Amino acid sequence: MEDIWKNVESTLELLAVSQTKFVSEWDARTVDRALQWAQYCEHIYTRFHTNSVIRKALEKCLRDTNERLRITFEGYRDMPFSDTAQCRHILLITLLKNPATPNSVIKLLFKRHFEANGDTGQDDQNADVASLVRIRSACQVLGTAKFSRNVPGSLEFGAQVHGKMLRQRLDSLLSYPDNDVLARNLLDFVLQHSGGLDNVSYVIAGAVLSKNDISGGNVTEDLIVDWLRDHNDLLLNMCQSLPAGLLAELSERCTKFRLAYLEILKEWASHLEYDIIKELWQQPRDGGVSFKTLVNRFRSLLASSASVKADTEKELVDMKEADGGFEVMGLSVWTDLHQHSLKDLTQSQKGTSLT
Amino acid sequence: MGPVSESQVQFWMAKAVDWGEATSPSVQQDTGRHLGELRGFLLQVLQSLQQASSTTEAIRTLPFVGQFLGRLCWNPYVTADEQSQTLLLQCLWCLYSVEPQSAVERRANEWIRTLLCQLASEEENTVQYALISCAGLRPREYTLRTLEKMVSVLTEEIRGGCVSLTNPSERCSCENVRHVSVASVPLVTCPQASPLIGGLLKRPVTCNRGALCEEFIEAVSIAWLEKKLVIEEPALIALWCHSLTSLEGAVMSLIESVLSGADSMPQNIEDKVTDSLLAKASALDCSIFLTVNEIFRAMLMELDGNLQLHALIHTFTRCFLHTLGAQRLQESPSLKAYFPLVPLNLLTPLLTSPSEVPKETWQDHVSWISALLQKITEKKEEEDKEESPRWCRDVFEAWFLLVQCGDWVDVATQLLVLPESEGCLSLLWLIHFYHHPTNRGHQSSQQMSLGREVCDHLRMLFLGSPLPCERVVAIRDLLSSTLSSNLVLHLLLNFAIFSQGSITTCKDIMSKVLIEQRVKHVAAWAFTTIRHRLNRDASKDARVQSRLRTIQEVLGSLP
Repeated sequence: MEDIWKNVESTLELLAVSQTKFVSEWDARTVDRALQWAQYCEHIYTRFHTNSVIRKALEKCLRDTNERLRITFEGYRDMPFSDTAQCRHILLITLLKNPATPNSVIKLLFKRHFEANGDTGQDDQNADVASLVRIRSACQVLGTAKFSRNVPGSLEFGAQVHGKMLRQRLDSLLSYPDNDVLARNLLDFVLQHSGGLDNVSYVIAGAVLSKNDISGGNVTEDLIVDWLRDHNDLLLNMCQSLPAGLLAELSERCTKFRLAYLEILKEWASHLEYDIIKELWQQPRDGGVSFKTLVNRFRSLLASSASVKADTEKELVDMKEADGGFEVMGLSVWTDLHQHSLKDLTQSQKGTSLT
Repeated sequence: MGPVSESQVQFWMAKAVDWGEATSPSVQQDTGRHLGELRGFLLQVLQSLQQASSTTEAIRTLPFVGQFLGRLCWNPYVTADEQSQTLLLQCLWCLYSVEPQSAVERRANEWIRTLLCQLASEEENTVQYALISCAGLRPREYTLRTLEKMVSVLTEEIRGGCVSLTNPSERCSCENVRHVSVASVPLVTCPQASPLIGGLLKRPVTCNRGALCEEFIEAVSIAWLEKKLVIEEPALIALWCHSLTSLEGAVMSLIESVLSGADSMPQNIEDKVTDSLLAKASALDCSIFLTVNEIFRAMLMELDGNLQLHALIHTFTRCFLHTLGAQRLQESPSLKAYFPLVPLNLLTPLLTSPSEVPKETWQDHVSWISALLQKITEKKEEEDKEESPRWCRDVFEAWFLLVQCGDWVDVATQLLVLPESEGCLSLLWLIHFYHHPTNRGHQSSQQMSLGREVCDHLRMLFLGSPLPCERVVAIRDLLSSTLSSNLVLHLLLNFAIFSQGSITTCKDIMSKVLIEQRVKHVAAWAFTTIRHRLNRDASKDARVQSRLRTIQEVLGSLP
């Protein structure tokens, strides 16, 4: 094991050097050696990433080395454990970006990695960038083929696919013991680097809705909702920005989500104030949602599966009773929500609730 | 390929600008339509760049090149196409200087590095970037899996039929199918996209909005002919049902490969037929069989007496019947549906393979076939004196069926050699009809007497030495006439294989009559076909096998 730590450490040092001006002294042989070490790191990742004991030790080794290198090299970019899986690609990009990389080295990199080798080899010994670019282009082109199932409020194609990919990753992490923290870290990373809450909201929805291929049970869904509860701004954003139909679908798929969603709806309802002159429930200025939005969301839930419908109905009745059980409009928000939501339910069953 | 012209530059620059990043179906369709020509133009640009002595010179001759390549690199529809992408990257690398001599060259280097960096890495602060960074996979692997997911989702989506059939008031999503077909044009050869390509082809066209775009059908057809398509058989059959042009292309490509190939030996023809999947598709879809045969008919008219074409049609029919026999248990149309133009009483004896008939009754079987065919050709006399179109068609169709089932002609030729051969006339008539269905202005009886004459000559020759000189000359002359050459050659080879004459005599005759290069070439080819047929027979006759080897040697050693 000692040897492995040493080797990983040396590879990190090598990658650190590839970001500096010293790279100007590299030649074909140096680059080959560097790529071999990078491949070694990839191999270590593949071999040990599921073994929690070794992985923890490796992570510690990486942390220490990153810290040391950060002091030595100005502007050093940390290498987290998951990055070791794509060491060669990182090295390649670093060399291309570094103006000090000799032109002869660049030419060599092109010959090795940018010349088409076909898509047949799964092995990817050469980190075939031409093929990567081509496959990514294929994804982009297919992504433009807007294929909605003509169901209003259904998940967009891109989010659906990203959601499936995220779900697969979470499923595979959680199929090993003691990996909850890793899964949460992964979700944290996605939250930080996806370019905004709206993007993440859709991907998380996609992950929850994605069919679970690996195992039964709701382990992954439950973890996602638990994590969401720790990130209330994201949860609120989801409940606010996702279409009502999609939220109802999520509530149907995952009981924990249903509970969290109903709690938020109740919270929003409690903040509505009645404007006697306009005879309307008004949304507070500092957030929340409108009465109409709430009605639409409840209607969607009532139009959903039997269990969701029963839960929602019970919630509405309970709240109405707790609030005084009025039958007259304009006194309790729950009386009014109850009445409006049940009205024209058949219409909402046709899927007209878009907001 | 010449230098790049000003008008070409203007055209392609305008296209590159119009296309942008090709996000809308109409732009994608236009790009798809021009993809083939674009590859040609990129190749032309590449060649010009390769001729330049430096990047400075290249930029001077092709000042548009940087902007043009840069724009295309950002068009995923172009970079998804393997050939275009390869050409683009090669062009870029022609512009990269290992030892830049000027500011222009240094700037070009810098630009290329940045461009490649951007192409190879994911845009930051996007979902894709976040997911790929923590995927624990190499970027290529991750992207490949994403593509597979996209393909599986889309394949599932397009599987649904048209909703407007059940509910006319509802707007159907068939237009989306068309959009997907447009987007799939550059992906037809991508193995990961194969389920989607197949799904698109197999989707029944239930509504006019859902028709697949022409560019897609064309791209798939070309990819199939270039053997770059990874596709399952039902999808390929669907393609041929969708597009007649595509089916014609496949049949013509098979015919060309057989006719042009120096390696068109019987076994190769069989392999080519199997690889083309046309026989298999024909067994599964009757209309494909009818179209293929329509093309065969046209080719037979054009290439009269081409033995390779005959062999192809024969092999194709054999493979077709084999597949059809294997799937007979399932429901399939009657044989009559596949051969609608010939009388049923002729169909039955001809479609029966010689291996299904005991050897002792071969003679009767062939005579039966011969009698049936004679009856069809003689009908004329009962009808109008002038050749009625209907009679011509009937005779042609009967002859075409004989070509399709050529085994019985071979059997007839083989039987004719045997000394005890009865009904020799009937056999001769069949062979003669096979080789000369139209008589070509000769009287049938004249030809028949020629056949008899040939048989007499050969019979005498194979009796043994000394060889009667005048008979050798007679056979040699008949072989040199294109009119009788094929018929005489087949008889000669069958005598060589099956007669009782000694090996020495056989060698002697062959070396004396096979003089002309053309004749020798055809003889070698015809011999291989006969040998191939005999080797298919499970019960191999030792004597015949030994003679086959000897004749092979003789043919190989002819000067």
